[in-house]
Amino acid sequence: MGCKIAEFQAAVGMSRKWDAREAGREVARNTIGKLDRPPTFVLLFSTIHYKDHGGFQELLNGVWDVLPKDTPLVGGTVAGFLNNYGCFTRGAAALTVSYPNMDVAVGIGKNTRKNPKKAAEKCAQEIIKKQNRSFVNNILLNMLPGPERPSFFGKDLPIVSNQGLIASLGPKYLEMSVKYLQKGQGLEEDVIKYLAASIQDYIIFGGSSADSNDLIANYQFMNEEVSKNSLVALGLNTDLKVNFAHSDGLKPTGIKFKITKKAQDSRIIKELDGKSAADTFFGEIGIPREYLDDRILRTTFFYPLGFKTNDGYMCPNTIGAVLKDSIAFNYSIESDEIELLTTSGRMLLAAVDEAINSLQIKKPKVGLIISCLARLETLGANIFKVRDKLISYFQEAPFLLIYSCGENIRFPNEESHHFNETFNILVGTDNSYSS
Amino acid sequence: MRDDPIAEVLDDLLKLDDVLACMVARCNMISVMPDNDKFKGDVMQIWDIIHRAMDDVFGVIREYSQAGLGEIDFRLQDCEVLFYVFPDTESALVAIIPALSNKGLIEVEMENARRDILRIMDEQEKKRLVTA
Amino acid sequence: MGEFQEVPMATKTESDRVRTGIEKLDWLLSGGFPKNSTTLVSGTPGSGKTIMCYHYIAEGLKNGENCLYLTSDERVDNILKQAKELGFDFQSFYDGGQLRFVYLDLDKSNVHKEMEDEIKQGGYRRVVLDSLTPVAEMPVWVSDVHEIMPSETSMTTNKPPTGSIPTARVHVRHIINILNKGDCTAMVTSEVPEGSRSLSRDTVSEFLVDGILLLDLDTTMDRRKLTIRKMRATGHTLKPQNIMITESGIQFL
Repeated sequence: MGCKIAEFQAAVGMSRKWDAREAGREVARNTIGKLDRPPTFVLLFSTIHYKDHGGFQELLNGVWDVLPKDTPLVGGTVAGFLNNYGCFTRGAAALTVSYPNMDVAVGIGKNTRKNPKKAAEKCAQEIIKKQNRSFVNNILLNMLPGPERPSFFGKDLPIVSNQGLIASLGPKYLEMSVKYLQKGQGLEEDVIKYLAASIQDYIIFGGSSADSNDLIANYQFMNEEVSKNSLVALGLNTDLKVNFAHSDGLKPTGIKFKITKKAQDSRIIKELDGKSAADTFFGEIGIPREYLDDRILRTTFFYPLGFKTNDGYMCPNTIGAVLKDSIAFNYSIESDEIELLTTSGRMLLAAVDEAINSLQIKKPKVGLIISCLARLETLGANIFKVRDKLISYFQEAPFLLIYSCGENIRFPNEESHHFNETFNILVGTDNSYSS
Repeated sequence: MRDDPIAEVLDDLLKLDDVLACMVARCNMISVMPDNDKFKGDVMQIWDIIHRAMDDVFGVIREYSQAGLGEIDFRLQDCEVLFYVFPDTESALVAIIPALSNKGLIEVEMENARRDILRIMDEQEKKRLVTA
Repeated sequence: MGEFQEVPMATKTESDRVRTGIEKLDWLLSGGFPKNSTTLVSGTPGSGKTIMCYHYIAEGLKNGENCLYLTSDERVDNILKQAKELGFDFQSFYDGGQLRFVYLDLDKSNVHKEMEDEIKQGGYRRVVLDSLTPVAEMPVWVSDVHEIMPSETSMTTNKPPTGSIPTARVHVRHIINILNKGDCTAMVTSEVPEGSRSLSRDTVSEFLVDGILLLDLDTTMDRRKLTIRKMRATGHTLKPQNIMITESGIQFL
């Protein structure tokens, strides 16, 4: 699928091949092959399957067998994607733009779990240093490392553990593993906060890399490099008109809790209203704890806990693990007052309409959508309906939706936000568009 | 079977870690199935039970396929069996997955496989009409 | 035991086996049907039962054997025509007397005797009954029921109902015994209703025969399968085999 009008060109491509090298070549060929000119940048995403079919370095090698040298490239692993060609939870996809009025720079900040501030600042510096700012709009597309389950005596830390050593030591172990083992929560909200502080006048739009929701391993790509625990970002300075929308399809229930005991990083809650957090939460939603297993996300997704930010966003946060009395989240809860939210399949689909309808650009030339993989897991084959809605909006214009493990946004000079369970759409059009 | 595009679709589906077994089947007949050497996990140990249960489910599919029945699934021991019905037929794409798997992601690939198989069937039908 | 078990093929002498006329099937059956056996070929309408009969007869004719085709459904000239369309030209064998067709008129009460006399006197090596179903469904009264029944001192004088399983079993056994008269190896076809798990419409014959071949048809997927469900004195796979029907009959894929 390609869009060629005047100087602006964009395209998406993909591959369903199993072999990493062949898939890399195919996705690159299918993507840039639709352009008349060399690409200005490429975003590359793949599902986790290539880990066992050649590896991600081979995937990138395949891409670079085709891509012109020095093309800026960022991306990472995702749980799935959808585009003009369909919906997929296996394969590789790319989006490319070729536009003369665009200056691009890429940056990387490593060891985000060890030192999120340093990683974010380094990445921001690289972009600021390389970027000419001759155009009016600045956009920073990014990919962060998503959560990864640490090992506990050689086995992956279970998602649900109600008793025993793991349950008792798990919360503390989770806290320590982030710092010392670079495993556990991704600290994405911290990274984004520091990134936003370092690069003030950019729209920030990104997501956390993921696997197939097993939370075992995820990867980031920048140029020819495959990384773990790295923030990768692509800075665009351009005169393209851009529009952005955010929705979630979540509804407050009116049921509120007070956090009375939590871990230092506010990612693990030990007590709600003075009682066991796990008992309080699951008691409220009426699910006996003995029914919980590794499929916990199928339940907790429908009951996220949300807190209000200073600038009025309701930040939903899904419980990712239950360790005895504690409930663990992927990112920190920034308030001691939290509210139980709820959703349904219908509301998740309605959120797509809500986001699309709020966009001012009615005829986009390209689109990138970042949505939570929990929505993919919940909707299952119903994401084909999501695609139908996007096709109605984009028509022939290329678009790519990736399912990530968390989503981040920031309007210039405003607060940054990291979310779960949201649907975020960024569209662009050139100056031939008139509303 | 050599050069069987439907078998290739099933082979692809079976390569996914969480798909223990898959086939195209109808009541009392498995029409297309990859080599069962490629089936994973303990599915063969409970294959007989699953096979009989499948035949009973196909009774329901036969009744309601023309009324728009799309999918059915059931859980048996530690497996879930997913049926993706081919519209207006008595046949379905069947997959056996672990009960604890990320079903939503697998559903997407099941839907892709169903669409691929329907497309193959359409193409084969068109070829037959052309040569008839 | 599931359907995925592979069983090593037994080694049999040529004389113990009667070729089916389909090479791959002969290989799966270690050379063919056991001599003097009766094999049931069952399947839904259109699954290829009659074509199997054609292969079987054609093989016998090729070997110079006398063959008998008992038909309860079709007129002889229709059979010859249908067979020719599938590449089996029986006309010259029919004209020469090597192949005999007998149309079983089910309205006649002596149909069993007719079958028996023909088989005893004809010196046939191969006999086909296509199909067993209408013959087995003929209303009959059986005077010698060997299953549990009211005793001779029973007060009832009612004849056993014709639909009862003991009656059906005896009747079907009687038919199969007729087929076993003479030195011949028999193939009988049986219809199976769509969606049924039974191997015959009478639900009895599968227990009385020496071998069962099951033909399955999936019209949606355009797939056909042949399964050897049982075969006396033969090690065989239970795995369904992919087949197709071509201009020259049944082919294994």
